[in-house]
Amino acid sequence: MTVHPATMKERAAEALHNDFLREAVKITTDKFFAGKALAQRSLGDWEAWRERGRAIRAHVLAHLDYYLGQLIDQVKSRGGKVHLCETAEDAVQVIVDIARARNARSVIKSKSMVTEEIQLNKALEAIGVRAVETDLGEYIIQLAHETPSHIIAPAIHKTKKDVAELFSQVAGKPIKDDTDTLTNFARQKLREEFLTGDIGITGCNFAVAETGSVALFTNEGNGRMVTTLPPVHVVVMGMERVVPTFEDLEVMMNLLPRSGTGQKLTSYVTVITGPRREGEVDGPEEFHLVIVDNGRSRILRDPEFREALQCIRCGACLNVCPVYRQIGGHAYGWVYPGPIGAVITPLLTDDLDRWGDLPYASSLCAACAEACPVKIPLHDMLVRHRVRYVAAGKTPPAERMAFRLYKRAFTSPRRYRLAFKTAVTFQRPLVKDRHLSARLPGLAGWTAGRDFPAAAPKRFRDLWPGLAAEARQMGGADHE
Amino acid sequence: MSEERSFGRTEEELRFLARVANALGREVETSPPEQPVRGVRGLPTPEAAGNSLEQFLANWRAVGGEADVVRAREAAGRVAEIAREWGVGRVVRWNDPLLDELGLDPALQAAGISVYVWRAGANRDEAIREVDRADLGVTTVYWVAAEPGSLALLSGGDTPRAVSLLPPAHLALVPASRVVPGLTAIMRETALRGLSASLNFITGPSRTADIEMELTVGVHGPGRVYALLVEDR
Repeated sequence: MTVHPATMKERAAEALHNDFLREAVKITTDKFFAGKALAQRSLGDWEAWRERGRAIRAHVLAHLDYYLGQLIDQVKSRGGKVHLCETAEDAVQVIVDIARARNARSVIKSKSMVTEEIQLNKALEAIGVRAVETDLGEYIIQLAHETPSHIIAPAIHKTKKDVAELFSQVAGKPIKDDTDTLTNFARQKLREEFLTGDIGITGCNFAVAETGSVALFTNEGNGRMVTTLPPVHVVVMGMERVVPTFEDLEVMMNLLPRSGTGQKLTSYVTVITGPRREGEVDGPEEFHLVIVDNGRSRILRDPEFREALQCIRCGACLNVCPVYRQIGGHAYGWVYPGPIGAVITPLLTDDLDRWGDLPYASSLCAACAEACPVKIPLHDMLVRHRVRYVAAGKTPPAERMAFRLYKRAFTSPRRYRLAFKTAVTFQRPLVKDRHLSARLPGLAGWTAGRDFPAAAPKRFRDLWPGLAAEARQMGGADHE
Repeated sequence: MSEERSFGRTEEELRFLARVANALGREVETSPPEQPVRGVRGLPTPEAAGNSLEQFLANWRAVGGEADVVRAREAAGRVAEIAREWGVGRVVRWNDPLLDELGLDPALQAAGISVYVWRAGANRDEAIREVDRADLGVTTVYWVAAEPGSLALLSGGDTPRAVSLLPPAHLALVPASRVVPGLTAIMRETALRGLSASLNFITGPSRTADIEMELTVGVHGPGRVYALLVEDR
């Protein structure tokens, strides 16, 4: 596993030195963004659709206990098994137990963020079960022992040459680095895995409470393979991923692909309701739904952040984020990148020391909130996070000191005037082209990455009498 | 919690739901909440303008699907023609009476193409082996949605999921009467008639752009998909 540095700033610096990554992220996000604009238009009144999406998701969260109860009852009544897991460890244990009970040797997986979150693959490997990622992008990064860099396109940071090298190692012979050859190689390799896999594991885009169904949105068909061929299907879902009815699912079918990849609909939308029925030969004989809390009830409890659970994981906020577009997904350090990652990572992990700096990876431009198909106020949440970070005393002592001085100076006219005069005098040796370019102790955090304007030698209020006279003259000239 | 609802829920389930309710600052809800809005009701849904069939053809082709409209008596011959063109040697198909009525098997066999019919309760290993080595899977559909240009397939003993998935090509015979304007009708119909274990919406070929954002079709599922619309017999 690639180890990334501990702080956001260090990870960002690393990403900024990777030219291919920055170009690839730009191309990918531009393409998704352009597609989204087009697909949105074909739907008509996009704002009305967004509002509907928000209303449905907000309603579910406000009544999540009821809808989860209904979902559980429905899945059980159709012969499925439900597992309720408070923590990541609980969820991993449930799945390990299922694998043991089936004497499984290999597990085939379709892309799922929540299994990354609970670190399922590691636990399966530990008991000798091979976990194979079957989404092409996930397969590539699994071979490279890396983590996804985009919610929808997990391997955008890899070049064709990188992929060809990885595949050549698997094949034990050179594989050509053109896209068709590479894709075809993966098709053959993974076909064997599909046919022999003992358990299929998928995530869940939406679960329908009314029917106990699980909906998967995929393009490659691996999600269908994983739910068609192995005798066991395990769905792992974050507990908030519910819609009330089949009719409500239609709204999400219109919002998710359009917002994510700019498609009207993904190539496949697969709606699974329980294990295979009488007479069916394919499809799983066992169906498990693993519902994971892992910090979500903490977010639900928190009125400042509850709306973050409305997220449908489309990735639209990544595609428009000026910070994500420069640094890519790995710089966010954990499973969920971009603005939504910066919001939910500190909450899910409940670890401000490790992840409290993520909400600073934003210019607060609000493009994310505007792009969000379910109207999560992401930029407001980033500010709320910063407020808490400061209140918890997590900011560096120098920064706290600076803001204390700032407060003192700016709350009294006398101190303000004094501070200004002092600054003008003391900055002189450091000013270059009207900017502070030197690395001031304590200010280096700002000046190292951007120019900090120097205090003007003359204050505006000192210039004003002269300026006012000038303005009067010009005004007067007009009348003469 | 009412007697009726709590019956059948385990201690563990009750505890989990109580925690969720607690996070919302109340007891567990036992009666269905009033939904302020539901589905797409009242929204400007993108229903097909004019002839749904024409609309379907346009949208299906736009996502990379192939399509044509034929009369019932020409259908089998056309399938054989397409199969020959695609270099198909083996076909696996659904056990739908419509395909028998259209005379599909004789037409394909006359063209030297073998046909395996996957029936309810088939031997699993044999059926999977046949579908894995087939060049073309032939199915019917339950509905097609003109907007966004999707086939809707329901799984069942005689309508297995693998036939539209494992072969490198998929051809669906679509009675023209099964074209509906949009998804809404399908969502209501499926919920009403009781759900199959699997409902699949297929919108074009299997695709990926995971390597340097270059579009490639046929990564795991079929790279070629054909919708042959059959007009009334």
